[in-house]
Amino acid sequence: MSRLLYVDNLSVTFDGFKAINGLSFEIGEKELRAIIGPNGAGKTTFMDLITGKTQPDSGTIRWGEKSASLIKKPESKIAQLGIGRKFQKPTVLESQTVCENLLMALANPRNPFSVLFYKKNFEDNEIIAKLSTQVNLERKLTTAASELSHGQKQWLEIGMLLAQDPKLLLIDEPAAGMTSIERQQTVKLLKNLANKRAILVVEHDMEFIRQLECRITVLHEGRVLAEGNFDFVMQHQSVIDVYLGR
Amino acid sequence: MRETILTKYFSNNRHVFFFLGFLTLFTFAVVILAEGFGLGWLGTSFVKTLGKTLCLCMVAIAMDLVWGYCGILSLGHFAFFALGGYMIGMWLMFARTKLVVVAAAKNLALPLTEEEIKSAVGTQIFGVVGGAEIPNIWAFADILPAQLAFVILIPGALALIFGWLAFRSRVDGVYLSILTQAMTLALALYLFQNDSGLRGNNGLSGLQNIPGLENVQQSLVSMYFFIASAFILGIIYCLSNLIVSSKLGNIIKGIRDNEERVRFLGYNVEGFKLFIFVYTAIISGIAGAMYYPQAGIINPAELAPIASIYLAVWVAIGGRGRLYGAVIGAAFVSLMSSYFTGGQAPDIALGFGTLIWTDWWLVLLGLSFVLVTIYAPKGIGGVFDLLAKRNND
Repeated sequence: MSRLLYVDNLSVTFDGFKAINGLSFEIGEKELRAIIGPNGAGKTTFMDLITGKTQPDSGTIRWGEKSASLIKKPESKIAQLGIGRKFQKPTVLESQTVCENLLMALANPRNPFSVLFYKKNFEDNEIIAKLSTQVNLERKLTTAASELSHGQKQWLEIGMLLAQDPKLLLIDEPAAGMTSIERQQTVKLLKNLANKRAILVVEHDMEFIRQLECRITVLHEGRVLAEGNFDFVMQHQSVIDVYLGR
Repeated sequence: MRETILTKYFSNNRHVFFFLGFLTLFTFAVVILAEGFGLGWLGTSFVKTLGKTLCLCMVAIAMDLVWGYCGILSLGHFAFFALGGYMIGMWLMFARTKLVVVAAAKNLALPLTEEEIKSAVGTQIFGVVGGAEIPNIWAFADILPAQLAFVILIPGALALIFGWLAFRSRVDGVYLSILTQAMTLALALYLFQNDSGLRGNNGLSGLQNIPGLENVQQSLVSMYFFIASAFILGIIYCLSNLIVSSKLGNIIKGIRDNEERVRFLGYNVEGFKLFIFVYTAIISGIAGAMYYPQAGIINPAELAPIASIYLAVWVAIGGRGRLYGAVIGAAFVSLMSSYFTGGQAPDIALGFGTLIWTDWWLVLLGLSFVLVTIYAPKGIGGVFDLLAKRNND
């Protein structure tokens, strides 16, 4: 399996607090990976660093076949390279319809003039129809996003990420606020999606993580504490001490 | 009915149809009723007020795009408006003064040299600020096409530089509002200086006298400007509707609602903000260039930050996030304002004192702003939603 994202010795400090402290990490193409860790372990900061929202003090982040550096690239460029991000709270564009939300995410040219003269075509309609089915929103296309349930908003956001057709998907706490049926559907969806792309999931819910059946990285105090499959991590002494045991 | 591109467009954008229809009817009505061509029921100064109101509607559309649609509360769009006015004012004043100078010298034995004309024009225009030199920024003042280009280029360039610096540094929210207001104030203070080259606090005057139209009555000139203002307003409305109803409109609304989401979808948010900021600055400049020849005078007091705040109030009262809301707000509030502050409104004698509208109008305006914000966030435009809903039920 070839390497997609490679992070080495990454550090960032906020007002003297080492949020990420010498973190090294890699993920391959079409890999599903879960990240767990106590509050303040640096999970969200790690995603901020990858997506360019935060700049590291030191270390390297390399991407793709050419091992291009992602540091100092603006968020929009990184997103265009193929890294999609789902936030902790569902963030969709509330005042617009499901269809408009998806349309904006489609992998079409993104400069002001090409979107001004954009005309919706047959292919795009097809893709939107397919995507909305994938995230169970095919009947809600003309509904305003603000009228969706919490779980449906989560899915819409995932749908928007898929429309971007990213190579790596960063997902922050997808199961939060979902019903147990929605969780199961989400597990199925994520596993399915990982057939085509790499997915990095941050989650607190251990049952959800177990169902993902993937490799797990445990973060603690801004660095990797342990990495392995579910059983390995569950029995790892220091993981039990800092995280599970509490 | 045969479906053409036009009928399809109007059925998807019904408000454009109604707006253009109403604007056309209104224009014809005024033309028929005014002194210029028609019955003479409307005085020239009232026609000018209506024409100026149409220009205020243009700048309100700009404000609605930048604030109502893109979420940038700019308190500086009147600076662009006034700059547009100054640019056209320079030509009006220069060309007219030159004509006057040449006409006065007609009976002299020796015709004036180019240099003499220039010097005389300089004394005429800049005498009030104690100078006779024509400043460098007036280099193109004699050339109408150049000054017309500046109407677009100067506000556009200022918006481009200011917006680029502000958006690139991720300044937004209240801080951006304060920054835009500071820009307006700084520009106003600069123009107040006598050595700014634009006649300090005297500003530019006599702009209602259009060079080349000396022999045309003001009642007719006012008609020309009124009709042209209506025409340009119609174009700006359609153009702005094109923007907000396209995918670009979806993105700028997305920026308003959730900037981060749009950014992580891969859109360069700063670029889109800059696009809208510059576009609206240009509209404001054009609006100003149509407004001040009808007002007759422009001075730096026009740029006072309060003017840009009024603009926000108009758009809020009319209804943010819909183009016709901005137009309704600007027309309604500015006409009310000139009614109440013009001394036409009868004072109300209360037992303990008299309610003098010129003083109390601002209180009424402020109060209605607060009430609209709290109880009717959709503004006057929201009424149309209610009507549409009732029709559907």
